[in-house]
Amino acid sequence: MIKKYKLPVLTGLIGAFALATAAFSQATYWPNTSVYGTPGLIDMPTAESHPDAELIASSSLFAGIHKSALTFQVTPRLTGTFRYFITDNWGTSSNPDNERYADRSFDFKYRFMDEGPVIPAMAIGLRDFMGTAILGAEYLVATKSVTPNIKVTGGLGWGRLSNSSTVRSSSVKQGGSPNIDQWFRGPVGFFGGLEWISPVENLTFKAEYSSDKYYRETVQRDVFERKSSLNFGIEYIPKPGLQLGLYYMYGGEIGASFALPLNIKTTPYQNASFEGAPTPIAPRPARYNTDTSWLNIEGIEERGQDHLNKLLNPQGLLVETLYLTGTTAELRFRNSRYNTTSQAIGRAARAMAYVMPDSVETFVLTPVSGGLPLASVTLSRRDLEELEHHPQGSEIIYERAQIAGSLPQPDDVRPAAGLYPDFSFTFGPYVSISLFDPKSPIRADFGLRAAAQYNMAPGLSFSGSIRKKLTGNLGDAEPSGSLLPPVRSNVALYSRFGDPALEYATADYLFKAGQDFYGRVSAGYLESMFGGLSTELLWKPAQQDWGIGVDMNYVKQRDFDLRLGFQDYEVLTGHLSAYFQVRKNFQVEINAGRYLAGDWGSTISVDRVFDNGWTVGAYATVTDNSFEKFGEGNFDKGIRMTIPMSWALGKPSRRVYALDLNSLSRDGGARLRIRNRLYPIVSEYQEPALGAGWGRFWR
Amino acid sequence: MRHVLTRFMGLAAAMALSSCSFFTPDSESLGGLLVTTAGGVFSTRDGEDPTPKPDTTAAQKALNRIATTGKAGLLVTVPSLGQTTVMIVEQQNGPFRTFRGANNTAVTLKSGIVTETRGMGVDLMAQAMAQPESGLFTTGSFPKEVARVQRHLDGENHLLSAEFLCVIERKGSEDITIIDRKHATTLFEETCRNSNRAFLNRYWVASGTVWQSQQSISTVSGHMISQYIAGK
Repeated sequence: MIKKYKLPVLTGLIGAFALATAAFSQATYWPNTSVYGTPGLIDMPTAESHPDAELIASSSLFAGIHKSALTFQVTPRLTGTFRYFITDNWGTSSNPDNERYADRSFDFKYRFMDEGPVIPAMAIGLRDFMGTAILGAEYLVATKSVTPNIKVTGGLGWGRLSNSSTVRSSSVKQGGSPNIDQWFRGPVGFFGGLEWISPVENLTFKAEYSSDKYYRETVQRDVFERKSSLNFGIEYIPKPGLQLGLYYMYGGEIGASFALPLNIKTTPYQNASFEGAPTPIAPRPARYNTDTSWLNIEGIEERGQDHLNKLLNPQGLLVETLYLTGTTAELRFRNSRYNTTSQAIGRAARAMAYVMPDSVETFVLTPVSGGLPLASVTLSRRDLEELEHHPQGSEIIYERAQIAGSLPQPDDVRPAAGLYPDFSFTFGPYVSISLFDPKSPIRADFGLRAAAQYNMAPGLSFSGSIRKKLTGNLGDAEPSGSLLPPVRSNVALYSRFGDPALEYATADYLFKAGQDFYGRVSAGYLESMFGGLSTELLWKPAQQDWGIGVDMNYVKQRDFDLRLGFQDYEVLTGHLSAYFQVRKNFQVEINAGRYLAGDWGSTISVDRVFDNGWTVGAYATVTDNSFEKFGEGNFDKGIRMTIPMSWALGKPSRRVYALDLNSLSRDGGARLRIRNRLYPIVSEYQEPALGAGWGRFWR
Repeated sequence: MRHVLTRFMGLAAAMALSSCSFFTPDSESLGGLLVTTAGGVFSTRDGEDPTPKPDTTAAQKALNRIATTGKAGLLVTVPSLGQTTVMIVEQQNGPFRTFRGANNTAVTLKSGIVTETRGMGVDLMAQAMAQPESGLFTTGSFPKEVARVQRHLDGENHLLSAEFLCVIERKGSEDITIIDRKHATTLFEETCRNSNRAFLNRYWVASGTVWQSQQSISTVSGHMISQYIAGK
C-alpha cells in the first residue's frame, strides 16, 4: 500500500516526544542504539540489551529513509520495539507516482546467553515480523568484548539481512499477522562489526559489514545507490539521556540519528519525593487505660470523624465513615493524593493512633473509591507503636497486617457530614490526538471541555461531559469504507459533526454484591459513540492476585452530531474477563466475548506494571471476522503506557497520563469504552498492588 | 561547613522572641484526641502545602514557641535543598523524638543520631546502629568502630538497605553558640564507608548531648546540619 506523508509533521512529533522524555532522563546509557532504535551497531543488530525497563525514543535518517522508534527493555533479556518509518522515492517504473512509503513495524529480540569470560552474549531477533514486513528480517547474533574498549559482533541473518535479493512480504491477504511461515527461511547472510570506545569520554567509533542488500530500495527502486557493504559511524553521548550519531553508509550516504533514553525505575528527581511529613505515632503509656466508657459519649463517632478529618484532609485523605467499638475502630476513607495505596493507609493509621482512645487496640483501614469499600487492612496499634522507628518496620508490619475484603458495617454507621450529596465541576482545555493513521501520521483536535459529577449517595453518581472544538483536523479523515458495521471507523464523522459534543452523560451505581463481588450498572450516553445500558460484575478477593469479571451491555450507536439521538444500529455486547499475574509485575487480561460489530473473539493484554505506577504493555484482539471484512491489520493490536504524574513531578499525585497507540481505528474487535470498569478501580487497593508499594507505608 | 553553620546561627539569632502559642495535646487518662479537647493543633495543620518550602516567618514563630512553651527544638538546614527550618518536638516514642518543622518537614532523633527524615527529597527512611546510640560518645575508647544501616526508597518505592562501617574519632574541644547559649563541646568525626559510598558525620557533644551535628541523609539530599535547643 502506498501512502503519502508530510515528513516535517512526523519529525516534529517524534522530536517533541523525544525531547519530553529526554528532559526526564537520568539513566546511564549503554549500549548504543542503531538506526533501527534497538541496541546495535549502525544498521546491524548486536546481542546486547539495554538496562532493564529502559525506554528509548529514537529517530534516524539516511538516504531518505526515516525511522522513528520506541524501544522498551521488557525484561532484562527481552527487547521490544515499535517503529514508524518513511521511505522517500518509493516509485517504481510501473508506478512512478509513489513518492513516499510509510508503515509501522514491530521487533522483538531475546538475549538467550550472557557474555562470559570466553563465550559471547547471544541473541535471537525478529524485525518487522508481521504484516507487510518491508523491513522483515530474522537474525542470530553474538557480541563479545575482546578488550575493555573493543566489542566484536557477528551474526547470521535471514530475510532482509540475508545478503541476497530475498524480501519478506505479507504472507496473508491483508497485513497485520505474524508471517511465521517465512521466519528463518531462505538464504542466510553474514554480518558483523566492531565498536571501539575511544579514550575521549562518551565517544564511540563503529564499523560494520552489512548484510542488508536494500534490494527493494536499490534494485526495484531508486531510493539510493548502494556502493559498498561497509558502514562507519561515530556516536557521542554529550550527557546522560542523549545519544547522537553520524554515519557514512553504503559507500556514499550520510546518516544521522539521535536517541533519548529514560529508565522507568528511576524518577527524574533521582528518586526524590517532596511531600509533607506524616503525623507521628502517639504511643500509649505502658499501662494505658482500657476503659471503654467513652463509647457512650453522644456523637462520639461524629466527633472522631471530625478529629480525623482535621488531621487527614491536609494530607489528601477524607473520612467516609468511622465505626467504633471499645477495642476496634474501622476507618473508611477516600484517597485523593497518593498513587501508592500503602502510603495512604500508613498515614491514616498514624492519624488513628493520634486520635483513638487508648482502649482501641485494632485499627481497620478501608480505602473507598467510587463509593466502594475495596479492602480492609487490619493493624495492631501496638505494632504501629513498636515498629514506627524499627529499621525493618515496613516489612514486619506488612507481615503482620491482615488484608481482606471489607465487611459490612452496621446500618446506623453514617457517612461523615457533608459527604453526600456532593457536586464537583471541572473546566479546561482538551486535545484529542490520532497518531500513525494510515492516511496521516498525526491529526488532532483542540478545544474546551466542561465536566461535572454529582455523587448522590455512596456508589451512586451522575456524570457528564461537554466539549467544544476550537480547531483541529480529526474530522478530515475519510469516512468508513468498512464492510463491518462502522462502529469505530467513522470517528472522523463524529469529530466533524459533533461540535459541540455531549461526550458522555451517565448514571452509575457501583456496589458490593457480596464479600468479594463488586457490581456496576451504568446507563445513558456511555461514551462518544454509544449509549445504552452497561452492567458488570467482578469477583476479586482482596488478598488474591487474580480475578474474574463479566460485563453485559445493550447499546445503540449515537448520532454523528453527538447530541441526544441514536442511529439504527444496536447491539448486545459483553465479555468474560480474567485478570491475573504472570511473573512478578506482569499483569495479563484476557477478554472473550462479543464485540461491538457483532463479531466474536478475544483480546489478550499484557502489561508490565511497575511499583511506581508506570505500566507499559501491548494487546491484541482476534475475532471471527474474515480478513477481507476486517481490512488492513487483520487483527486489532496496539501498545499502551501509563505514566504517573507522581513519578514525573516528584510529589504525590493520583493523576496519570495514558498513551494508547493502537494499530488502526477498525471496526472488528472493538469494545465499549466504559470509564469506570471495575477491575482498575478495585485492584489498585488490593493485592498485589497493595504490597508492591508497601515501602511507602511509613513515608 | 563552618561557613554554613555561621550563617545558620546568624539566621537563628536574628529570629526575635515574641509571644505565640503552640499546642501539642497531651493525652488525658483515656488517651487519644477523641476524648480530649480538640486543640488548636489541628488548625495549625489546616491548609498545609504538601510540598515543603522555606518559610522564615513560620520558622520565626516556631522559634518563639520554643521559648514560650519550653519544648525542645531543632534548627535544621539542608544545604542541598536550600532549606532552613526550626522544628519543635512533636512526639516521643520510646527513645525516638520526632521534630516537625514549620515547612512540614520532620526529623526523628535517637540520642542525637538522626534515624529518619521526611520531606527532604530522598529521605532517610530508617537508620539503625549496631550499638546503643545513647553511649556512642560517652563509652569506650576512640577511635572506635560502629556499624550502621541506612534505608532509602528507590524509584519503584522499594526500600533499599546499605550497611556501613564507621569510625568515630574525637577531634578536640570546640565552643559553639546556639541562639544565645554557649556550649563547650567535644567535636567527634565519624567516617562511614561501604563499597559504593562514603560520608562524613560530625557531632558537637557535651555531657552526652549532641548539641550540633552534620549528618548524612542520602546521596542525593546530602547532609543536614542541626542544632539542638533544649526544652525547659
